[in-house]
Amino acid sequence: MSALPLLLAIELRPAGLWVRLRNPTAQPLRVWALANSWGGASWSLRLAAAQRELVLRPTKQPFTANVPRFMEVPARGQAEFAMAPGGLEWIFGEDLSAFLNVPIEVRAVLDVAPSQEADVHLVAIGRVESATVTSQPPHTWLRA
Amino acid sequence: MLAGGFKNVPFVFDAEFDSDPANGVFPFCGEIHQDIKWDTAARTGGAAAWGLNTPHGGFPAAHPANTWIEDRDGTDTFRYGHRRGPFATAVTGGNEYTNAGGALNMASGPIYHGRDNPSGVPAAFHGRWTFMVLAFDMCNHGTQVGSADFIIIDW
Repeated sequence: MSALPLLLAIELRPAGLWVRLRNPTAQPLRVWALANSWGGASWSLRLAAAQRELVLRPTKQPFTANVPRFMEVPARGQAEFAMAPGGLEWIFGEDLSAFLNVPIEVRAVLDVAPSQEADVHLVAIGRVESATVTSQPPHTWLRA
Repeated sequence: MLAGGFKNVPFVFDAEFDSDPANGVFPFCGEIHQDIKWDTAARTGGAAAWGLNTPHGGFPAAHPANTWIEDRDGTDTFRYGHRRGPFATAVTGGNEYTNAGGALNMASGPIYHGRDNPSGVPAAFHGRWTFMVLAFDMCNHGTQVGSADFIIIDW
């Protein structure tokens, strides 16, 4: 998988997790929005704590009205959006008990696979990871 | 079918609105919307699989089984066929009004093309989902015009 020519950063806030995408290139770049199956399959959060790792994806719930919507990161610009990883579509059925009362190392991954829809909508293909951010309990961003 | 680890059932729905200005018939009045309902098995199975009584967030949490409701995405920021307003987003090949030549014209194009692709992890699906595609005259209090079409998915 090639590297996406984007810089990905996350910021933990009490109400959620903010994602910032910076585009250092001279061309606008498109990435999948979250609330469709293409975005759901592309975005993940990697949590590590107490010698355990957990990968969260917003795919616990199915997708209806499922169209390939994307966001565009302007050339030499940036785009921001909020993730709500405490939502059921991220965490239903996951055992988070080992993570809730200890510091957590968090990073986001955007990994866009080739697809017919990516070709049609000129969505960038490849992978980028954020730097790791440490979250201190009580991790309100991870609670519904 | 399975794509990228997801079970999915893609389908398309197309429509063309008449244009007869002399008689007050304007394509910009016409909209195509999609409704959905799910049966009791889907509601029960979904609640066990992902913790909601609805297919995903965005629907009213207590919406009952076997009852039509306009389909929307998980954030309720997208609904099919809205020409204007908060749910209107053009998606090439997925939700677009065009002129006869194919140029995008969400405001008044007579030709509609929609494509849905209900998808999810295989363990998520239970029961029956039914989709209903309808045409409305938005210049006449949203009166339904023509007959509805149905797509039934037995997961």
